[in-house]
Amino acid sequence: MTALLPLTDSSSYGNFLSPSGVSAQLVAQHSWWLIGICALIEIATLTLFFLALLRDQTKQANPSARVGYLRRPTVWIGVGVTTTVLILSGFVATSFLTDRALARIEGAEPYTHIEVIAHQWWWELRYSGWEGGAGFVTANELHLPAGKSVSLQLSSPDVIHSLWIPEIDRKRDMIPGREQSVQLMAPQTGIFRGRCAEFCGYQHAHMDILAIAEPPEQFDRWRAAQASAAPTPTGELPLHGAQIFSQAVCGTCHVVRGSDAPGYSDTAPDLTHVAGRLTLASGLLENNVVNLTAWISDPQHFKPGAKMTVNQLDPQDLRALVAYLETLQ
Amino acid sequence: MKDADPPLYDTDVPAGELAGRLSAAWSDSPGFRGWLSSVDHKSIARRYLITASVFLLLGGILSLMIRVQLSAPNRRWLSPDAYNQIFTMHGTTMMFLFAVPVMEAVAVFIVPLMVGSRIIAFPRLNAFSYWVYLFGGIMVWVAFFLNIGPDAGWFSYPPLAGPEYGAGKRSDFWAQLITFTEISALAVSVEIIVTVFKFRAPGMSLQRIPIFVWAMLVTSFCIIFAMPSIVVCSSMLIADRLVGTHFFNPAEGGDALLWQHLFWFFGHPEVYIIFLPAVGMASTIIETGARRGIVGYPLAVISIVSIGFLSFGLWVHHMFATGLPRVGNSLFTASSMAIAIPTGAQLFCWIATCWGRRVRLTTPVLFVAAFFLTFLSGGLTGVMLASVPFDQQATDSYFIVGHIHYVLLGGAVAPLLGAFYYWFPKFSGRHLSEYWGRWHVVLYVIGVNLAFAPMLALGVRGMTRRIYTYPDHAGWGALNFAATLGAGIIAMSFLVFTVNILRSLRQPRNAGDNPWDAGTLEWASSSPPPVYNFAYIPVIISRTPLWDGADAIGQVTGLQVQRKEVIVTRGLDAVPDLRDPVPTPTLWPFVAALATTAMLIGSIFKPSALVWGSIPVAVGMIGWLYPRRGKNT
Amino acid sequence: MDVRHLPEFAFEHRMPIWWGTVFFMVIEGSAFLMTFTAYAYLASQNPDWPLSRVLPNPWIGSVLLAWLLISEVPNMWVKRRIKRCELNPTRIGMAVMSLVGLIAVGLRFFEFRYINVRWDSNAFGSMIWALIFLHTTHILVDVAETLVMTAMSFLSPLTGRRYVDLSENAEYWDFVVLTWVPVYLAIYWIPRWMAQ
Repeated sequence: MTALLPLTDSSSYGNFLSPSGVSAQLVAQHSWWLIGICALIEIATLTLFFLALLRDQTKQANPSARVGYLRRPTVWIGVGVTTTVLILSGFVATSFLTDRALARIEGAEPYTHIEVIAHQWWWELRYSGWEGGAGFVTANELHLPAGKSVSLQLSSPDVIHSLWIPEIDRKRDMIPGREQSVQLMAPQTGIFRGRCAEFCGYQHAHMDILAIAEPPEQFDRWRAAQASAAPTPTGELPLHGAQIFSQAVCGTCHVVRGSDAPGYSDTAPDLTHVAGRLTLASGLLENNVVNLTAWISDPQHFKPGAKMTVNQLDPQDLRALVAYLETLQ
Repeated sequence: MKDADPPLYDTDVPAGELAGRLSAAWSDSPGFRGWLSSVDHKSIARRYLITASVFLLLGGILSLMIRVQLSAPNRRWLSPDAYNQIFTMHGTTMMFLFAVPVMEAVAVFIVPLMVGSRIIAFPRLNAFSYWVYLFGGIMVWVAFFLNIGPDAGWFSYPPLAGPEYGAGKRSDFWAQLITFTEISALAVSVEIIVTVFKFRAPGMSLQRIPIFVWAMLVTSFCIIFAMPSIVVCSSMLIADRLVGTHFFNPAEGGDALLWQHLFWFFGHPEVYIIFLPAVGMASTIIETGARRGIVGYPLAVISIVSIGFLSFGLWVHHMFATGLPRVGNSLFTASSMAIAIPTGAQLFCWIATCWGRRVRLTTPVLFVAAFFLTFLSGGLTGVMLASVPFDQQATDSYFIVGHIHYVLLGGAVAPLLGAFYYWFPKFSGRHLSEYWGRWHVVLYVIGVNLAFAPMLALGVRGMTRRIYTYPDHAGWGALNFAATLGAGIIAMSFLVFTVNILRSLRQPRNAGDNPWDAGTLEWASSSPPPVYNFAYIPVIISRTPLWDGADAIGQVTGLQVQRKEVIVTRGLDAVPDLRDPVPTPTLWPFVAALATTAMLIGSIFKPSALVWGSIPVAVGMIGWLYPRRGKNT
Repeated sequence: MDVRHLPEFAFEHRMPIWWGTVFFMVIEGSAFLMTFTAYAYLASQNPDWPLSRVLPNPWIGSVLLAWLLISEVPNMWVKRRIKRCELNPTRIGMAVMSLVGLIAVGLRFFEFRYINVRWDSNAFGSMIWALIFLHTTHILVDVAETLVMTAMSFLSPLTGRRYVDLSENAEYWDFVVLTWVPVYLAIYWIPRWMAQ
């Protein structure tokens, strides 16, 4: 069995306190204030408590004395409570203001609309059509135009998932029977890792999504390419592979637009341009020939419980199938 | 019906004979049957404590398994299926089978003694609640060992736990466990409330009720108002699964979010149901350590009551990411922040109580210090999480895991351990070693901080909860390793604790009646207390009667000695009102609990068991309540 | 302080058992309240509530409502007799209340046929059946208790504390009657008003 190959680390796993998205930056700023002030409160309270506990250890206190040394203790308690109230009011106010600022960002005119549909355990992405091309379906890689706001329509047909790309924006739950629409913006180009944040069953651990932010022109070129159907394979091996794809079980679930496989894009990832993706199996494996071969032969080794079954193809057919998939740029 | 013999009063027997006669009237009959029939609150509380400790051990082993799996990236020791069952069982066991019952166990033992009563109200119901709790716990653990343990998290969100995606019987066992633990917890709450209302020693008017008793009273009210919510939603879930209803099915008009509202309407008060008893324990320890009644007693009581109230207004902060309207979310931010005010007031009362006193640094007091060194991180991260934008980033990440464990291990378990050291002489007549106790505290504080501070950092770095493994290149390995080390140190601290207990149990019972020189009534009885608690029910004139000199405690006389008898006092001013005959030991609560268990487990496999299973339950109840010489309930 | 002169029992709030009953009613009342909340929540989430076109037929439920309200007359009467510890009127009253309860149970089982919507057809049906199930368990429990207590009151001479138990049982019947009113409205009339 092929060893698990790590994804070459061009992507970040995300640190929500040093983010790159505009919304996430606002939240991070607010968070740093919260953390800083809470740390001060913790230090102050601990100091007070240990002073109270240890200060008089050496004193020969009269054990039967009923009254301590703190004069007007209730006044001091009152001071403490008032301070607490003031600090908390500040927190409520800043939290509210931050939320308002976030709402304003989300009011911007979106550059494009994308339906994000979470499945057990992969992401279906439906890009809407635009003047340069028709809508298309892809999976697990969310291409975004950097510096532009995009509108996401979130939904889930099975269980509750949650979309979280820590460096771009906050979590949004995806609840069956409810649609949530959000807007997000990646101001800089780069690859940002996101993942499902709500426990969704066996492979909750392996449900990553890559957000790929590129300059708008490059994004437009990408989506024009995605909108086109898969190229007809040339060469003996890929042609044979295409046959296997539609005759073996692959084609019953997966779609390759332009091929004669009957699959459905909502049961399994659309593979029309699979070779252009960076990862396989929702961010689990780097997309290369070795990993693709290993994945097709035994998905259950990598993602136990996943819907894709073990495929016992003879080595020749497997090579052909992989060769075919590699042509789907 | 009157007894055949003429009544014999305690004033009629010589002082030397009184103890013997009371023991004869109050003791359980010998043998196994007598043991099963016991309705003495102290023996039932001991069973509760031991059972809860076993579940703590089991839940703790699961947590170590989780930590071993996550100690390094890409570990495949546990399959995702095993891992999901393990973390679900860990949460379920710790919340429902350890945290709530252990607090109740302490209360069942201490509250009657603290209010100067010979019994807990409804002693037979008390026995029943214990058996139901035990059988429920055994049921879910047997299911787990048979590989049909629940696997949808301790929160069991549908649709994952629903009929379509939660295959098999796994989530049914979870939902039915909830029924067991709720029956038990609700019954204990009623017992405690009525004990506090009607069985307080004469003179214990409202302003003389000890803080721990106030805390348990408020906790019991929280249970009464919070738990029906989860009874309703877990019944809906099991109905969806077993008879095809559609409460949570969006395709037929149901709604998955309905579950979350109902669950968290219970789930948030649940945290305070665990935290408030701990507040009461810490207050008691501080009062005794500083040898002074708590400073700002009215404020302390008001903060406990207001924490109880406010805990019902925060549930939506568990749902900030679900896309509810913004305005509503902001209101819940305010209410979630507001609960920090009474909590803060409580802490300031403690600091003021210690201030200027030479506090004796016994192990219980050190555990209160441990509370400060751990709980503050939990409480303050909680304040941060009240902010909607912060929460939407941090929720469902390891930040939350760190936060709740700081709250529970710091805010609840640390005072609980202190209380265990504090009341151990009362439970057993023996002291625990202070030397080993200090080791226990130090290891515990180091372990908790080492285990959970890295989790906060992991959450910030994007690690989500409930994942069974993570890749190397995520860069989470080192922090996870530290957390695992911390978990190991916590386990070591409990090992020290166990050694301490075992060593102590080999010592003679020489702790003395009031080893800590405490002020409250439980120490007016011997250690361990006799089965009748007090030879004479005390009459008090202050909140800390034991500090007021030998004459400050009066005696109630005129109770019969040949049968079990207590007095009922008036709710507000605790003036004696009635003489109350006490129910005798009986096997029926055990039988009724067995029948209830059969009915509830049967209904998992055949819903009609609810119908035929109710017949033996009814028989059990009739046997329990059937009058035999006027002694029942 | 000597207490030998104190009585062994009293009624209502002086007795622990009264508080016990009250708190169990509070618990069950909260369960009803949470179920109503769930009902209101689902109704607010579904613009086309009630989801069924055929609604529960109210006639037998209304008969039951009337019957339960009328039953309060003998119930009040027996409660007064119990509190005066009058043996024979108590026995008669308990027998009457047993009969009243049995008829109410009969009406309830008859009522099931007129609900017209199954619990597994949609969330509305589920909600309706949840409410009626909850209330049916309350009727059954109290009627069973009444029957047992009636039998006891005839089989053994009643001592003072037995009267307290009987009065708790009678008070629980008030709770059963009282909870039927909102449940009845929620099953039969609110869906009708919402359908318009």
